[in-house]
Amino acid sequence: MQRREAVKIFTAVFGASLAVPETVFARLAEPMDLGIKPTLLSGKQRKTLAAVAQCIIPKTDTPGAIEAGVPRWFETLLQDCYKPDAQKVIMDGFTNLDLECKTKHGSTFAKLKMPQQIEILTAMEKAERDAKVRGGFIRATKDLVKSCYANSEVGASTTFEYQIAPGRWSGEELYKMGDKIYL
Amino acid sequence: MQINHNGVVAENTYDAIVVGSGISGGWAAKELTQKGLKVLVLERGRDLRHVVDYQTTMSMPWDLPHQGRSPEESLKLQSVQARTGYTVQNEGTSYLFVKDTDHPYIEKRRFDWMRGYHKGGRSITWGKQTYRWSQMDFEANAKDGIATPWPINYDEIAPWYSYVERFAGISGSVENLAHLPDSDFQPAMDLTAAEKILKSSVEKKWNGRKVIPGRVAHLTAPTQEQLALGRGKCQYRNLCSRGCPYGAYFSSNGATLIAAERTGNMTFRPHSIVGSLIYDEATGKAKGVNVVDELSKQPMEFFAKIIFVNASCVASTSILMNTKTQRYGAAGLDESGSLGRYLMDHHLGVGASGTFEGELDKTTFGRRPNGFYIPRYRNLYQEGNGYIRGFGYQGGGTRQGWSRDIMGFGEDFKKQYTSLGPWNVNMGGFGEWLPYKDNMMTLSPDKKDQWGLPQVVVDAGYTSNELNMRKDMETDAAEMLEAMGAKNVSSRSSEPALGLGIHEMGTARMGTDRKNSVLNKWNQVWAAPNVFVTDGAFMTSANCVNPSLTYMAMTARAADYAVAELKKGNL
Repeated sequence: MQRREAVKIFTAVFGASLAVPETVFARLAEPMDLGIKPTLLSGKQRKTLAAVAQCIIPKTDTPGAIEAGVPRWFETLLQDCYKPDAQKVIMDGFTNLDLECKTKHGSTFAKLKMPQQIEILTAMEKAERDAKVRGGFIRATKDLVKSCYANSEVGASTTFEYQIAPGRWSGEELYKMGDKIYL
Repeated sequence: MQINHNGVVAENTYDAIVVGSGISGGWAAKELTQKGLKVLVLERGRDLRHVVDYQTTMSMPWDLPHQGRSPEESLKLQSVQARTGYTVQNEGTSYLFVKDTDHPYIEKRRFDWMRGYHKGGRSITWGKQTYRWSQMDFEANAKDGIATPWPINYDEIAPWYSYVERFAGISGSVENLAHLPDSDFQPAMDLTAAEKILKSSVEKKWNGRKVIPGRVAHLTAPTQEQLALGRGKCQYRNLCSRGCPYGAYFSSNGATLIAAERTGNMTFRPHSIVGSLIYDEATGKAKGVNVVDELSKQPMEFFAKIIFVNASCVASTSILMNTKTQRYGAAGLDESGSLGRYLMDHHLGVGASGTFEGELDKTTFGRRPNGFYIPRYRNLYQEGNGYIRGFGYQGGGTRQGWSRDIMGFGEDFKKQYTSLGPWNVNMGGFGEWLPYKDNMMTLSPDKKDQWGLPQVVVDAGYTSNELNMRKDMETDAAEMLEAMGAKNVSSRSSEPALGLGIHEMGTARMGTDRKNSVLNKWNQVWAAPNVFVTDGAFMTSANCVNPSLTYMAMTARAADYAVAELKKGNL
């Protein structure tokens, strides 16, 4: 943000009678310490993660997972917010995906073409659903990619729109497919 | 009146002391200072300045290091509260809840104790749902012959409801329901398209059932008085629990304590943990409070003519239990045997959800910090199956977004992911928990906290009344969703534990006689008439509605009475 936006919203609500200096509001809109450099994944796992994230949310007329910085968010959240057993499902998943691709297709997952990657992931998703696996690799990975993208600055200000202060409530707003979604 | 035998006593003497600055303490501070008393407000935690200290209030999701999820490292310090899935799991709000590692207590049976030790207490993070009680609710104990009768009736408290509502600002719709009286409302927050379908379906099918907008302490049309306090209209952010920079919802920090501060009569002291009252055996009153400084751990004493104990239900009860007096023998401050007993909460974690595939050309705009409400109807319009009293529901119906389960990958997936799904309609019950003598808290005889104060021991549970009620709560929710044509309806019910509702109450109840209660009808401690307890501890029964509005009204009423009695020379 949008520090200026934050201050503008306040003056709109309170007019000139702002009880607290503008600098306070500007400070409250500063990002917290984002200097986290995740160290959980190996170089190979990172390549696989990037390729999988791109298959889930590709670049179209709006940015994709890579443009939105999803891999870094993904690794940070996986490292800091997941319990070891849940981390293992995802990390083993990346490793096994690569091993399987090498055996079946003679190449790591990341080096395959996207249509083939999507075909592989689609089959894996179906198998996971058929086996009624809870918290399986595909589901867990997709859930985290979806959330990292929607909560990223790029995702939430291009594909979606997040307003810090919507300013009004409407219980009935017209909607059609393709309209931008407010988070 | 204190004898000025040394400087410290004079310096530490006020007209009144308020212990705690949460929702009821804030009201006590406002009322007493506005009536001209010099008031010391003691807060056990840190200062939390309105707006300035709401460190995450303007953070975008990507401004937070983990996009809003609390990391495991911090959850370890809040592992007791983390069991419940809300409060501390949010990176933007976890700083407003205590570290469990610093504030241990003992659970003989599970007791989820969610605490915020800072100025304003849980008035910063509360759910803001505000409902009046009715005459029926105040009569319930007497009629059912359980616990002890309430010593007050609706007509006595109704003007105080109006009084606090006009100051706090309550959004809601006028419904003219005898069992859920209307407040003095600001405009309601509209129901969504799906909620309106639910409303018409339910109201058509069942006599006496209503689906109405939630009643909530948010400004939708602020008054001059509210604007003058620096409070503005709700901006529909639904980031309330981080602290509201607009002062749009009611909190001590954004409303009552500002009003108290402006009188020039308030002294606010953070880091001041009250351990007990200083009892004067000669007069039969409390002359002050014993305090431990949170940081230096040094003991201190403060003195006053009137003491309001608003530390929150369990903590206020601990202060009374920890107070030494021989005046009434071994009973201490309580001759009735009810102190620490009759612990209540609301039981929840039961309800249903489903999807609704009509009205797909509509959605919502803004993030409403509220939803719909279904007032109690069981044992009013339809009999309950094997229990007394009843329950209400809180819920919401909004379009499913990106987080819904979507199969597939690539562009097709992205198209679904960036568009809305069907409506998701969800409701959860809030059930009345009866007052049971054996649901109790005590003080540990040997385990102490780092300030040398005895740890609280909680031992409380449910009976068949709660369990039978939960069956109806689960079945009815599913039936109402089915009535609107919802699909994929799934109901849920978990094992109830006290504390989850964060409405703990009842352990220093009021009653008609010093033999059946700790407090009289003015919230005065029978055994120390200059001490008033006006937080959840005073509740004689729980009803099924959110309690804060009743705490506010009873606090304002008690403060008015206390000052009148003081002027008459009775305290």
